[in-house]
Amino acid sequence: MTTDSGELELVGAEGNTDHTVVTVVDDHDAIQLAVQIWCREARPPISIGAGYRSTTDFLAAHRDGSPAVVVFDLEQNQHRPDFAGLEKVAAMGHRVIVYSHLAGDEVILRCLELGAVTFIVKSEGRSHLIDAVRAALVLEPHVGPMMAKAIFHDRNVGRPKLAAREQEVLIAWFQTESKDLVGQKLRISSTTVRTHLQRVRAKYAAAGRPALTKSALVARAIQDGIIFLDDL
Amino acid sequence: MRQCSSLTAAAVALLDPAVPGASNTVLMMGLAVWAIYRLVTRSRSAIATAGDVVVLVVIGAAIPVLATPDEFFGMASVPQTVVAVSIATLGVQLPALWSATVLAVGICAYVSGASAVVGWGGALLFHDLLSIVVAWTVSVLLRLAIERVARTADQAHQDRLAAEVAAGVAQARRNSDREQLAMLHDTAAATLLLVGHTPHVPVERVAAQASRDLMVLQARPVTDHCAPVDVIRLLRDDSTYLDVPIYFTGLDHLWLDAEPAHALVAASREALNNVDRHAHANSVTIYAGRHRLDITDDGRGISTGTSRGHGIDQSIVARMQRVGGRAFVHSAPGGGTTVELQWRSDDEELISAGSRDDDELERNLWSRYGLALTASNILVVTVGLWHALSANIQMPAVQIGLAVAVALCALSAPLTVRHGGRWVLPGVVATLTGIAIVQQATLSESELVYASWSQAAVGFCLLPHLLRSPFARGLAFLLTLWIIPAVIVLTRVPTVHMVLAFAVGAAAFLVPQIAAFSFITSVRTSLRLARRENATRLRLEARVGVAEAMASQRDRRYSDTVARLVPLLRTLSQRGPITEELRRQARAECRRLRALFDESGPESTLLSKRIQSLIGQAERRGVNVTAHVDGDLPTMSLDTAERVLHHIDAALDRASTWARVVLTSAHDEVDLSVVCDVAGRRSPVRRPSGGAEVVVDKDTVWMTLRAG
Repeated sequence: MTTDSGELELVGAEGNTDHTVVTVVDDHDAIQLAVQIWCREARPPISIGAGYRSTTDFLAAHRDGSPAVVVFDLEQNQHRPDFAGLEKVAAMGHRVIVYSHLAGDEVILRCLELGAVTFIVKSEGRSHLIDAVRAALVLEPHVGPMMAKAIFHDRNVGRPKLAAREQEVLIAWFQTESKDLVGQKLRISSTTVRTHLQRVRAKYAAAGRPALTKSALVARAIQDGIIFLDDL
Repeated sequence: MRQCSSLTAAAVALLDPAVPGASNTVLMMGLAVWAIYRLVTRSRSAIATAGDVVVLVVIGAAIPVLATPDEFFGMASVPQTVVAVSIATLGVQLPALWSATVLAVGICAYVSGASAVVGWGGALLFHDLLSIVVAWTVSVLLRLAIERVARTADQAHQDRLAAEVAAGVAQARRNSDREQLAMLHDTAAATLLLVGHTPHVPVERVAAQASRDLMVLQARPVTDHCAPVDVIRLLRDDSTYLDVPIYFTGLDHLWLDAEPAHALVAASREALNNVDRHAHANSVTIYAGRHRLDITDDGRGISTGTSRGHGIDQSIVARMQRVGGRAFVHSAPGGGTTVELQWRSDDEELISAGSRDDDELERNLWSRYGLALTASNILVVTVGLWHALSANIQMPAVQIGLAVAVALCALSAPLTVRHGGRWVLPGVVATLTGIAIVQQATLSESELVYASWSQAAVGFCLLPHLLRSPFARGLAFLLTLWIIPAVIVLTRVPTVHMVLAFAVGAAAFLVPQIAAFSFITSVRTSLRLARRENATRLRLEARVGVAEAMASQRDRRYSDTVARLVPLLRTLSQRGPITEELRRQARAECRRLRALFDESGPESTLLSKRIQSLIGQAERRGVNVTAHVDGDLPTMSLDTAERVLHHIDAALDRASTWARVVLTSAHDEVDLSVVCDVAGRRSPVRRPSGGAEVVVDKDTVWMTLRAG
């Protein structure tokens, strides 16, 4: 992959959090409300816009708007994952955080391939979701614990070769959901754990389907020195 | 085959001018008539078989009437052929003990008959008996091989069936589980999450949601419209309400998809109602086939001129057409009525899936049946050669050489079957034909009649080579092998006697050879048919399992969970204040639901059930536990499982408010991880025994263990 400096500049401008809208697409008022309350209660608070009950509503409202961070329920109205909807939203350049009760590896990997920036399983709790939203706002790669497991188990051809250390971090992160504990066990700082996870996500995005979000993620990762051009 | 051979033998005997006598003619006519009767009726009853035994005993005992001493010196006489072929075919048909009895009886009859012609103790008598015993041995060998092939194929099929049903059921369980969990997630879990984890949530909103959840959860689950239905059972149930007696023929069970099944039952019901109301019938017969159901009555019939009315057109014909089927009504005044219902089958695409079975069967066929054929062939060659040598023929060395060549040809069959190119088989046929021609050319005219062992041997030798050949091709080869030497010999010795000798030889050897060959083809055909049927059965059985699994799902976990959720949701729907106690309850239920969502599926092992029970204990102490158990854990020894459980128990015991249990597979081993907080717990953190690693971070303890 080649990333010219022009794109890096563009991405840098896009990373301005002041104007990026955070929104929820979920057919349950309860979830919309919960996410809104969590964002407002977060320290520091995250400003969050109106929620939408369906992908169609969201797309209608954001037809030509700037890229938003979308907390996206995968199963709206029907009981099957709405991959097509996810793909549409991601293709428009929105940073999609899939927030679903589904935790199957194949569902998670499919979502990442379709352009979701991260995947948080509803059972993982609010702090992970808030972390994911914050990461998406500043265009940082983020890996949720269940997502870590899915990446760890991914045996698809064409997937990036993860270093042994990165695999260790992935599985430990899934086991504990705590970067501090992972750091303690592997004798590294929790910041290094975070860097490992970001690096994995960036590598993963680079190997995945071409999408706006992917180039953004990878560009950001290169800017931050998480990933090197040699790695690509 | 037995009857074809008898008929040929009888025809030969009747046409033979050298055998005079009225009793001979009568007996042979009788034999021919019996053979034709058996060929026409194709009965497999015990009486018919007993009749065959009687025929062979009579023919054996009547040798003095049937053959002159001169006749009897031939390679194969008419009575000998009938007795030997009958015994051989019965050897294939009957269990070994029974056929041994038949052999004993046959030999007794034959000996008593033959001794009257050639005297006791003659070498010829001994040879004849030997060939009969050899024929029997060969047939028993073949029977054993057939049984073995059948058993192996059955077993393989059963195993595959069981595996596929299990896989189908597991898949369906996962699907049904997902469906139910998705429903729970959309309703109660969402509401409880809101209540439990979000302060200052509007009471009105919670009440409205809780009421909706209650409505959804308490509604009866939709019955599964895809479950297969046994049409015959439904019709039997229906038939008890009718006055006319109903007889069922054909299939005992007819499992069909719900949609065509219900149409079929409804159409049949209408047809039966018509019979009951209008036909004045004494009985109704329902024949069930795989694609057809016939309902036939012996009533007064429908006259073709009158209008058929709404019943037949709408309730029967149109109904069947709606599900892609057809219906016909055949009737004549006074002649009863037949309603014929047909439906489409969509199992055709499944048939191509069986090529793996085909290969297995081919291998099996070769290894068992081919081996038996080769053994039989060597036996036949040995006996034939010995027969010839003991008759003091010229050039015995040539005979031995030829026999060895035939035996080698037989032994090379596995190579032809496995690696045979296009020209290998014709090559083998040419070689064998050559051997037969040379063998017979080296015999003098007088020797030809009794020392021509190649007549029998080359055909048997070819059989193992034909295992993969199509029927027509194989038959052509067999006939070539038979006819070319016969024509050459007959041009050399053009006597009636020789023609008859060949005809008897055909009855004794060619017919059994063709039968043995056609067996291979018929096994292949019946396997294909069986596979087609099995594919349908497999699908249907899997669906039955699915339906059962879904029913039991609704019965067990689902109803427990709903029963627990209902009181809480009811309280919430009453718009009362959301107290701390309610929040706590909501959180607890949320955790339970989460555990349910996290679980890999209902087929989760005993291990995950015991882990769940440990988690339950901790939750009762007020510890919030999240758990994840991989669905595809490797098989663990009992010791390993106990060790894992012990560590979970010990770790959870230390937890004060929350814990996270993760059990994942790591190649052939399992990784256990338990993270929990130990704030406020007095007991110091001890290092657990048995290779577990512990990391402590402030109040959090993380224990990991690799076991396998």
